[in-house]
Amino acid sequence: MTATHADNEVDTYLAAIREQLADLPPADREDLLEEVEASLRESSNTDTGTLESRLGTPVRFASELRAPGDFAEADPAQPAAPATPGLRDRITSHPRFRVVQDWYTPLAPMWWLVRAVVGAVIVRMVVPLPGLLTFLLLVAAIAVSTRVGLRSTRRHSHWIVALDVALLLALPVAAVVLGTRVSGDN
Amino acid sequence: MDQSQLLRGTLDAAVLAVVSERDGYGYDVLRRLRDAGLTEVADASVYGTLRRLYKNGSLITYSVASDEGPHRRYYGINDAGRDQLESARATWSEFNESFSRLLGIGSKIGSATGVDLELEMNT
Repeated sequence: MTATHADNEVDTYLAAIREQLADLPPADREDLLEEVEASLRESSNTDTGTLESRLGTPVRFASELRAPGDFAEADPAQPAAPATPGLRDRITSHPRFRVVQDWYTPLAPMWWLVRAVVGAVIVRMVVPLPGLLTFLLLVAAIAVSTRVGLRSTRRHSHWIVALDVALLLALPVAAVVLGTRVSGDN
Repeated sequence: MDQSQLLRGTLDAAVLAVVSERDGYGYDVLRRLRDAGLTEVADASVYGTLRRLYKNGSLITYSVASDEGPHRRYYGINDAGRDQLESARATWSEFNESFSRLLGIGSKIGSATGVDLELEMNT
């Protein structure tokens, strides 16, 4: 085996071990790898046969490397993933959710405007207001809706989602009522 | 039971014993363990044990330049390591005595009730 070939083999073997030790704190991992590298290079110069035939697979080697030490624990700074993700995580990590999110995000301001108008119309239906107050109500609704929208892009809130769903359901009702009013006025 | 299973609980003592003879680096310690008869000891287990013994304060370490490749990380035993080795020797001696008696063909073991049990080992 040529020196270059042996070096390449050691490099590949070390990379595979590094992958197996990915969950260890970086200092421990590099410490172990440094110890292993020097020995692997020396053994490659003196012993015959491939590394795998002499030492087993990198997976097995990494497992044996951890076994005697205090290296079996995962990095405490990295909390373990929950065994069963919650409903929210399952929805937000679903590929289709990502598609919807990519599509929705640029259009979100339009939705904030629509829901402000729908909210103002609903209030106007319940409380008869003069023209100026209706205009002010609409401006206030747009301001609140935009503010809530900007906040919710950073932090999702259950009640905002619930309010959006309610307004979405109210949209056809408001459209019908508005349509009736307009046709009535004509 | 093969040798590798027996080695699992005793590698600390074996590594400490080798290093107590003279300082050594990873691959050197491995070869000396094998030369001493522990032919089935796994390379990775020795390297992991050396690092743990160092982390636990039983060994010291220092680097020495090598013509054959990267710097060699030598290990030497310190007082804590010598204490650990002495404790391991005492434990092993006691265990060895008990186990040898237990496995001894035809040997008698006196029970607390005074009844002698004769072990018959199938060979």
